[in-house]
Amino acid sequence: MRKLIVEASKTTPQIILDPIKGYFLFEGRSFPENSKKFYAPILEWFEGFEPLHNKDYKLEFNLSYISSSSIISIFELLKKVHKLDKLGNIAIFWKHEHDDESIRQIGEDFTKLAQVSLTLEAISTS
Amino acid sequence: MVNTYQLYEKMTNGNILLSYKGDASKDVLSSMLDILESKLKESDVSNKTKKKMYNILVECLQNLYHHTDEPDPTIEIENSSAIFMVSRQTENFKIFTGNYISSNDIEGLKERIEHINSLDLESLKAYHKEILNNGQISSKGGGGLGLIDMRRKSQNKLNFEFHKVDEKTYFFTLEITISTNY
Repeated sequence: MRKLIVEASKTTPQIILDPIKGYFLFEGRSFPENSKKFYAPILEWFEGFEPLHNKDYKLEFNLSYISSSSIISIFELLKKVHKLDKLGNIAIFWKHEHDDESIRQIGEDFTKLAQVSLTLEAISTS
Repeated sequence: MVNTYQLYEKMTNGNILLSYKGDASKDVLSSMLDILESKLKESDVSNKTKKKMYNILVECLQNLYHHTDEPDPTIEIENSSAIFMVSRQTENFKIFTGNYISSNDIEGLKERIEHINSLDLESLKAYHKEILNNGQISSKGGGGLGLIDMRRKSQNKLNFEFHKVDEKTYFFTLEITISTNY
């Protein structure tokens, strides 16, 4: 599996998918005009990804804005990750600014709906 | 002839932060978001309110974009035009949007907004989850969560109207009030 890096734009997050390091990151803002189109290659990447049994993986979300259509795309992504994480070695972290109730709530909803366990992590804002 | 000064006064007295009528293209909408972001940054409201405003603005602008991006073939008039306006009063912000809509879509949209308006905040939370769980993104990228989000974040009912233009076409207006008090 090749490493995939998507640079951040004004409306889309930086994305790093690094299978060698075992590190996946989504960071920044997510409100592309068409979230389905934007997240399609990411979903496709995970489609072809198989976690190794002797390795730990970390998937980290650190998003400051999430549009409603992005919520649906990220939910699709989490369901996919849940399916391929048969060994249970992908740890998922959902960061939110400590006073950002709505981003925290989205993480909570995902935990309930996608049956994935996200570690919610409050970060302080400067 | 439009009296520019009268228009200027009207906009000042109505505390209009931004007002736009025209094509809802991606570039125009993105510039408006930039302008409003910097106006919000300068304003004296809490970060929480700024964030809420920004979120609702994004949803509103994306709605306009998706509506006019692929014009509805059943509407015969030139229909990519929309209106978008933001005002600031002491206690609240107001966002106004307006766009053409096919008469076929009115009933469904009306039912959805009325349902969303009828729910209290706790039920909205559950409804949001339900839509997310069953939700499918449309080809335009919309997911049906936008209106629920606007209602939840603003904590106010969504005001809306349909104005008949001709047999096939209506003009849909939406007004959202965001309190600056919390």
